[in-house]
Amino acid sequence: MELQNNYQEFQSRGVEVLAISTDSLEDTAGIIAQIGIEFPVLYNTEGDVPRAYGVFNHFGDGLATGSAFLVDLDGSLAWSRIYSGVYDLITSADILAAVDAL
Amino acid sequence: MRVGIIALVALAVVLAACGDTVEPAEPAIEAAPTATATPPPAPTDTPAPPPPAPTPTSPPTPTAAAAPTPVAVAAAPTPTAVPEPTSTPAPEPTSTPAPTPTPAPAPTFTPQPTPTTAPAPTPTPAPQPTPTPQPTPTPAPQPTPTPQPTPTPAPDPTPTPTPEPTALDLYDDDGNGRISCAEARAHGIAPVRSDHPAYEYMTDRDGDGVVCETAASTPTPEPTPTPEPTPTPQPTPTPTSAPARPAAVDFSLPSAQGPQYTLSSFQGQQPVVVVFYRAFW
Repeated sequence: MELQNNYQEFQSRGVEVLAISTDSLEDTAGIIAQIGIEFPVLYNTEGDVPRAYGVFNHFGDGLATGSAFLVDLDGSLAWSRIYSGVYDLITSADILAAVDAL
Repeated sequence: MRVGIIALVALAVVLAACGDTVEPAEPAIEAAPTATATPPPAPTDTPAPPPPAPTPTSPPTPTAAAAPTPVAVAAAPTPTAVPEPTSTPAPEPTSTPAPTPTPAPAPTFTPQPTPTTAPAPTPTPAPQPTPTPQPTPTPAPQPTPTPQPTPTPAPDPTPTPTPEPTALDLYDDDGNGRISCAEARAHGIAPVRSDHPAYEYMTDRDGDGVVCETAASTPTPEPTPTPEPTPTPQPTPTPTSAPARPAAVDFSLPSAQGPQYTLSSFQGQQPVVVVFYRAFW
């Protein structure tokens, strides 16, 4: 929700947002419709992508850990933030600050 | 009868005792002024033990003695003066408190010898000057390292004369005082330029400042273009910046909105923020 509210900030900076959820497609689609998310939401129920990023099943619930990764134009990882709390919500301010530092 | 005789004898003894106690008191007063003579030390030793007790009980006496005390301190510096202070203050007390303090003067001056400890500190300052000279030797070693660097430059002049003779000796194999091109090539110094030490022993026929220009020297410039491949190192800096940042793991996943998205498809187009959600949005 918070990220959706600031999506325009990312677009104005020429940055795309790709969200990845380990929830089922039905759950993900329901949330998208409920919140009105405009950015792409990818689903990966197997969890292999968050596992490759080292943010899978940190809390033993088979879900991805809330986290954000900024990929630069050259495909390199420029910045990352992994939230340590189970209920931590991703904040746009941290990510936008990293985008401005590119 | 016996009782009367005994009583008389006892009376006589008592009278005799009283007469002894009175008489010694007077000589005691006189003894003080004559204290300058040798006798004082002996009497002072004897009464010394008892006096310490009376000294605290009679404050006024110490006040009189307090004055002489600094005098004794002044005299203290000389170690042999220990007996002197006792003699100097002696006359003063005898004049002022003559009657009553008669017993007092003897005891008060007797404890003063205890300031004998005062002379003890006097020797203490003596060792103090001793450490003062110690720092003096400390700076002494400092100049010692200074001369060390001095010998270091010394060897420099020594090798200097050595290379002068070797300039010719190194390359003049036949010992004719000249260096030929064959000798120069044999030692790998051809072509020899005018700034080379061997140049002055060679003949520069064309006067161009270079001797023994040969075909072999011509190919030498050819390797010079070899450095042109330096563009190869240019790509090196590019990968150098890459290791600083790890490559993001590529993925291709379907979206809830329908299209398939591949991370690498954005490379060179626009930065991407990949966000992992966990049920909480």
